[in-house]
Amino acid sequence: MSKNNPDIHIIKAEGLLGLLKNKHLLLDTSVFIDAFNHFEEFARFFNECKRGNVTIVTVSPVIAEFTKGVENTKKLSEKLSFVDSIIDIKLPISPDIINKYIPNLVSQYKAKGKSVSYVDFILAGLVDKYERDLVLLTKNPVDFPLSVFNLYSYFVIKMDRALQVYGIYQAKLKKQIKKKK
Amino acid sequence: MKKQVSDQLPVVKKQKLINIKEFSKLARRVKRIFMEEEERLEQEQSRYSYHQSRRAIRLT
Repeated sequence: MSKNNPDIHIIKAEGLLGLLKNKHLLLDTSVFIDAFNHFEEFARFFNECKRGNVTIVTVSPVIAEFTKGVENTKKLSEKLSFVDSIIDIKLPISPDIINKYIPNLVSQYKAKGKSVSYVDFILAGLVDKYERDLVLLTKNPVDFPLSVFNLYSYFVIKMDRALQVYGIYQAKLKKQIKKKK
Repeated sequence: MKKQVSDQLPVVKKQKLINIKEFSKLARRVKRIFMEEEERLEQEQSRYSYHQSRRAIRLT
Protein backbone atom coordinates (compact mmCIF):
# COMPACT_ATOMS: atom_id res chain seq x y z
CA MET A 1 0.00 0.00 0.00
CA SER A 2 1.24 3.49 -0.84
CA LYS A 3 2.54 5.73 1.95
CA ASN A 4 1.52 8.82 -0.01
CA ASN A 5 -1.89 7.60 -1.00
CA PRO A 6 -3.28 4.83 1.19
CA ASP A 7 -6.34 4.50 -1.05
CA ILE A 8 -4.34 3.06 -3.94
CA HIS A 9 -3.06 -0.46 -4.05
CA ILE A 10 -2.64 -3.43 -6.36
CA ILE A 11 -4.82 -6.48 -5.82
CA LYS A 12 -3.16 -9.48 -7.45
CA ALA A 13 -5.00 -12.52 -8.74
CA GLU A 14 -4.36 -15.65 -6.69
CA GLY A 15 -1.05 -17.26 -7.60
CA LEU A 16 -0.04 -14.45 -9.94
CA LEU A 17 3.60 -14.28 -8.90
CA GLY A 18 3.93 -18.06 -9.01
CA LEU A 19 2.54 -18.12 -12.54
CA LEU A 20 5.00 -15.46 -13.65
CA LYS A 21 8.06 -17.17 -12.11
CA ASN A 22 10.93 -17.54 -14.61
CA LYS A 23 8.92 -15.86 -17.37
CA HIS A 24 9.54 -12.70 -19.35
CA LEU A 25 6.90 -10.03 -18.72
CA LEU A 26 6.43 -7.79 -21.76
CA LEU A 27 5.15 -4.29 -20.96
CA ASP A 28 3.03 -2.20 -23.29
CA THR A 29 2.85 1.60 -23.34
CA SER A 30 -0.13 1.86 -20.96
CA VAL A 31 1.96 0.23 -18.21
CA PHE A 32 4.70 2.87 -18.42
CA ILE A 33 2.10 5.66 -18.28
CA ASP A 34 0.42 4.19 -15.21
CA ALA A 35 3.81 3.42 -13.66
CA PHE A 36 4.57 7.13 -13.29
CA ASN A 37 1.06 7.87 -12.07
CA HIS A 38 1.19 5.11 -9.42
CA PHE A 39 4.94 4.75 -9.08
CA GLU A 40 5.13 3.24 -5.59
CA GLU A 41 2.64 0.48 -6.30
CA PHE A 42 4.20 -0.38 -9.65
CA ALA A 43 7.78 -0.25 -8.34
CA ARG A 44 6.85 -2.69 -5.56
CA PHE A 45 5.01 -4.97 -7.97
CA PHE A 46 7.94 -5.00 -10.42
CA ASN A 47 10.38 -5.72 -7.59
CA GLU A 48 8.23 -8.62 -6.38
CA CYS A 49 8.31 -9.96 -9.95
CA LYS A 50 12.07 -9.50 -10.25
CA ARG A 51 12.66 -11.34 -6.96
CA GLY A 52 10.66 -14.21 -8.46
CA ASN A 53 13.05 -14.32 -11.43
CA VAL A 54 10.61 -12.56 -13.75
CA THR A 55 12.45 -10.61 -16.45
CA ILE A 56 10.76 -7.31 -17.25
CA VAL A 57 11.05 -6.48 -20.94
CA THR A 58 9.72 -4.18 -23.63
CA VAL A 59 10.46 -3.32 -27.26
CA SER A 60 11.66 -0.20 -29.10
CA PRO A 61 8.26 0.64 -30.68
CA VAL A 62 6.70 0.81 -27.18
CA ILE A 63 9.53 3.08 -26.01
CA ALA A 64 8.93 5.28 -29.08
CA GLU A 65 5.21 5.49 -28.23
CA PHE A 66 6.05 6.41 -24.65
CA THR A 67 8.66 9.03 -25.51
CA LYS A 68 7.08 10.67 -28.57
CA GLY A 69 6.15 14.33 -28.27
CA VAL A 70 9.08 15.37 -26.10
CA GLU A 71 10.28 18.94 -26.53
CA ASN A 72 13.99 18.46 -26.00
CA THR A 73 16.75 15.91 -25.45
CA LYS A 74 16.83 16.44 -21.67
CA LYS A 75 13.18 15.45 -21.33
CA LEU A 76 13.72 12.59 -23.76
CA SER A 77 16.58 11.26 -21.67
CA GLU A 78 14.43 11.48 -18.50
CA LYS A 79 11.69 9.42 -20.12
CA LEU A 80 14.28 6.92 -21.37
CA SER A 81 15.85 6.68 -17.90
CA PHE A 82 12.40 5.97 -16.49
CA VAL A 83 11.92 3.07 -18.94
CA ASP A 84 15.46 1.79 -18.27
CA SER A 85 14.90 1.83 -14.51
CA ILE A 86 11.95 -0.57 -14.94
CA ILE A 87 13.04 -3.00 -17.63
CA ASP A 88 15.77 -5.62 -17.45
CA ILE A 89 16.22 -5.88 -21.21
CA LYS A 90 14.86 -4.52 -24.46
CA LEU A 91 13.78 -7.39 -26.70
CA PRO A 92 14.98 -7.43 -30.29
CA ILE A 93 12.35 -7.74 -33.01
CA SER A 94 13.56 -10.45 -35.34
CA PRO A 95 12.55 -10.47 -39.03
CA ASP A 96 10.32 -13.52 -38.50
CA ILE A 97 8.06 -11.40 -36.23
CA ILE A 98 7.38 -9.09 -39.17
CA ASN A 99 7.42 -11.70 -41.94
CA LYS A 100 5.80 -14.70 -40.27
CA TYR A 101 4.12 -14.06 -36.92
CA ILE A 102 2.35 -10.77 -37.71
CA PRO A 103 0.86 -11.99 -41.03
CA ASN A 104 -0.30 -15.13 -39.21
CA LEU A 105 -1.93 -13.01 -36.48
CA VAL A 106 -3.57 -10.72 -39.04
CA SER A 107 -5.33 -13.79 -40.44
CA GLN A 108 -6.33 -14.98 -36.95
CA TYR A 109 -7.64 -11.57 -35.84
CA LYS A 110 -9.83 -11.26 -38.95
CA ALA A 111 -12.09 -8.17 -38.71
CA LYS A 112 -11.00 -7.55 -35.11
CA GLY A 113 -7.58 -6.56 -36.44
CA LYS A 114 -8.85 -3.50 -38.30
CA SER A 115 -8.25 -1.05 -35.43
CA VAL A 116 -5.20 -2.74 -33.91
CA SER A 117 -2.02 -0.65 -34.00
CA TYR A 118 1.14 -2.03 -35.58
CA VAL A 119 2.91 -1.75 -32.21
CA ASP A 120 0.26 -4.05 -30.72
CA PHE A 121 0.76 -6.50 -33.59
CA ILE A 122 4.49 -6.51 -32.80
CA LEU A 123 3.74 -7.28 -29.12
CA ALA A 124 1.26 -9.96 -30.16
CA GLY A 125 3.82 -11.44 -32.58
CA LEU A 126 6.43 -11.70 -29.84
CA VAL A 127 3.96 -13.32 -27.43
CA ASP A 128 3.02 -15.78 -30.18
CA LYS A 129 6.64 -16.61 -31.00
CA TYR A 130 7.76 -17.14 -27.39
CA GLU A 131 4.50 -18.78 -26.37
CA ARG A 132 5.85 -20.56 -23.28
CA ASP A 133 8.29 -17.99 -21.92
CA LEU A 134 6.82 -14.57 -22.67
CA VAL A 135 3.56 -13.04 -21.42
CA LEU A 136 2.17 -9.57 -22.06
CA LEU A 137 1.04 -7.08 -19.42
CA THR A 138 -1.50 -4.59 -20.77
CA LYS A 139 -4.52 -2.54 -19.79
CA ASN A 140 -5.82 -2.81 -23.32
CA PRO A 141 -7.94 -5.97 -23.70
CA VAL A 142 -9.50 -4.81 -26.98
CA ASP A 143 -6.39 -5.43 -29.06
CA PHE A 144 -5.61 -8.85 -27.55
CA PRO A 145 -8.82 -10.84 -28.10
CA LEU A 146 -9.41 -14.08 -26.22
CA SER A 147 -10.04 -15.83 -29.53
CA VAL A 148 -6.28 -15.46 -30.12
CA PHE A 149 -4.78 -15.21 -26.59
CA ASN A 150 -5.34 -16.76 -23.18
CA LEU A 151 -5.94 -14.51 -20.20
CA TYR A 152 -3.09 -15.94 -18.13
CA SER A 153 -3.67 -13.83 -15.01
CA TYR A 154 -4.54 -10.29 -13.96
CA PHE A 155 -4.30 -7.65 -11.27
CA VAL A 156 -6.46 -4.73 -10.29
CA ILE A 157 -5.36 -1.27 -9.21
CA LYS A 158 -7.83 -0.16 -6.58
CA MET A 159 -8.16 3.58 -6.22
CA ASP A 160 -10.43 5.81 -4.18
CA ARG A 161 -13.10 6.01 -6.87
CA ALA A 162 -11.89 3.76 -9.65
CA LEU A 163 -10.65 0.29 -10.54
CA GLN A 164 -8.22 -0.44 -13.34
CA VAL A 165 -7.70 -3.97 -14.55
CA TYR A 166 -4.47 -5.21 -16.08
CA GLY A 167 -4.50 -8.44 -18.04
CA ILE A 168 -1.56 -10.77 -18.47
CA TYR A 169 -1.91 -12.50 -21.81
CA GLN A 170 -0.29 -15.62 -23.16
CA ALA A 171 -0.46 -17.00 -26.67
CA LYS A 172 -2.69 -20.00 -27.16
CA LEU A 173 -0.18 -22.82 -27.29
CA LYS A 174 0.24 -24.34 -30.76
CA LYS A 175 -0.35 -27.80 -29.28
CA GLN A 176 -3.75 -26.71 -27.89
CA ILE A 177 -4.74 -25.26 -31.28
CA LYS A 178 -3.70 -28.46 -33.10
CA LYS A 179 -5.69 -30.62 -30.64
CA LYS A 180 -8.84 -28.54 -31.22
CA LYS A 181 -8.49 -28.96 -35.00
CA MET B 1 25.33 -10.80 -18.31
CA LYS B 2 23.21 -11.87 -21.27
CA LYS B 3 23.02 -15.34 -22.73
CA GLN B 4 20.89 -16.82 -25.47
CA VAL B 5 18.46 -19.70 -24.99
CA SER B 6 17.60 -22.02 -27.82
CA ASP B 7 14.60 -20.00 -29.02
CA GLN B 8 16.66 -16.79 -29.02
CA LEU B 9 14.77 -15.12 -26.15
CA PRO B 10 17.50 -13.23 -24.27
CA VAL B 11 17.65 -13.89 -20.55
CA VAL B 12 19.41 -12.13 -17.68
CA LYS B 13 21.13 -13.96 -14.83
CA LYS B 14 19.92 -11.48 -12.23
CA GLN B 15 17.12 -8.93 -12.56
CA LYS B 16 17.92 -5.40 -11.39
CA LEU B 17 15.67 -4.24 -8.57
CA ILE B 18 14.10 -0.78 -8.71
CA ASN B 19 15.38 1.72 -6.16
CA ILE B 20 12.00 3.06 -5.04
CA LYS B 21 13.35 6.38 -3.74
CA GLU B 22 15.15 7.19 -7.01
CA PHE B 23 12.27 5.82 -9.05
CA SER B 24 9.79 8.07 -7.25
CA LYS B 25 11.84 11.17 -8.06
CA LEU B 26 12.16 10.15 -11.71
CA ALA B 27 8.45 9.26 -11.95
CA ARG B 28 7.45 12.70 -10.64
CA ARG B 29 9.66 14.40 -13.25
CA VAL B 30 8.25 12.22 -16.05
CA LYS B 31 4.71 12.92 -14.89
CA ARG B 32 5.43 16.66 -15.08
CA ILE B 33 6.81 16.24 -18.63
CA PHE B 34 3.64 14.39 -19.67
CA MET B 35 1.42 17.06 -18.14
CA GLU B 36 3.32 19.78 -20.00
CA GLU B 37 2.95 17.83 -23.24
CA GLU B 38 -0.79 17.39 -22.68
CA GLU B 39 -1.15 21.11 -21.98
CA ARG B 40 0.79 22.02 -25.13
CA LEU B 41 -1.32 19.62 -27.19
CA GLU B 42 -4.53 21.11 -25.83
CA GLN B 43 -3.34 24.64 -26.62
CA GLU B 44 -2.42 23.61 -30.17
CA GLN B 45 -5.79 21.93 -30.64
CA SER B 46 -7.72 24.93 -29.37
CA ARG B 47 -5.64 27.23 -31.62
CA TYR B 48 -6.37 24.92 -34.55
CA SER B 49 -10.11 24.81 -33.83
CA TYR B 50 -10.14 28.63 -33.49
CA HIS B 51 -8.57 28.94 -36.96
CA GLN B 52 -10.99 26.36 -38.33
CA SER B 53 -13.99 28.26 -36.95
CA ARG B 54 -12.62 31.57 -38.33
CA ARG B 55 -12.18 29.91 -41.69
CA ALA B 56 -15.74 28.52 -41.56
CA ILE B 57 -17.09 32.03 -40.77
CA ARG B 58 -15.19 33.49 -43.74
CA LEU B 59 -16.55 30.80 -46.07
CA THR B 60 -20.20 31.32 -45.08
